[in-house]
Amino acid sequence: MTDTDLRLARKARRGDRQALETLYDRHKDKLLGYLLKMLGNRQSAEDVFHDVWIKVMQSLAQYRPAQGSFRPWLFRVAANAAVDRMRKEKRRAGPPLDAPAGDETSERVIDRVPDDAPSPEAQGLGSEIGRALDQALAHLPERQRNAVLLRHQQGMSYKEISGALQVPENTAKTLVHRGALALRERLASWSDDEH
Amino acid sequence: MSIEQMLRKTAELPVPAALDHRVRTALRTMPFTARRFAWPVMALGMAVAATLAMTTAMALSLAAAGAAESGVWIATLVVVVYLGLSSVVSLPLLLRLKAARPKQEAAV
Repeated sequence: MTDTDLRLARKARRGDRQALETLYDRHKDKLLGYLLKMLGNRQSAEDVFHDVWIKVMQSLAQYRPAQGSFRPWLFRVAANAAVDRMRKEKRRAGPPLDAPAGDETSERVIDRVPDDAPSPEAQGLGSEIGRALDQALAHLPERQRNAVLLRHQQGMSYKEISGALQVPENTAKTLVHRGALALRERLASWSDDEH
Repeated sequence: MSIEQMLRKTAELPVPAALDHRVRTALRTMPFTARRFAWPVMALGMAVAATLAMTTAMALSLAAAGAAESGVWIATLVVVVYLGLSSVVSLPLLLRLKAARPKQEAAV
């Protein structure tokens, strides 16, 4: 019988490395896909990916299986690490020259220009549409981007998103809805969604 | 193609071999961070044990002093209820502490 994530996480908490490695195998590709779209930069995504697993190892003792399944907890660790990384990069880059005061969007876009993102073709999208998607995501506020990715890229339920982002379920729904709406507007020419 | 479909196509990205190797090596060799010994839990356990001991002693002394039959019954009832409540509180804590203790790891 295949162990559930919960059972594996319990074993891993007790120091079972094999169980932790099985969890890693199950979630690694999705986690990297999420981090890449979240950060918009391959090098950053890979660095954060490595850090996330180290952090998982260090904080497994704090994971409470009773409070929710493993995946939202893993993505919570990843989301926090990604946000930390973005803020660090923002500080390093300094204030953008062309951003008007209080214009968060301009700062975000400049911080995560999808320069060396993986070839979109490799991810099943045409190169232009892939680039358009990256740019549209780059314009979303951090929390909306996070919520939209967890919902529409990773297929999480609102309950899981609320666990991952540590927000009430209704807030998670609002974030997803607003984010998806903004994405649809930006990608109107590429998408066949109705408005 | 809808936005959802576009995003779903990007859901998985194969981890490059070098990165995969780096993470696996870390997972196999880095020490697990064991849960810190929970002093508050320990203190709570000791408080429960001490109160239980005092209650038992009180019940025994009441019985030994030949107090009224009802007094002995009340004391017995107090002990039984207390035992029940304290095991409800302390057993999960003790089990959790036991579970948190990492196993001896085999050499990697």
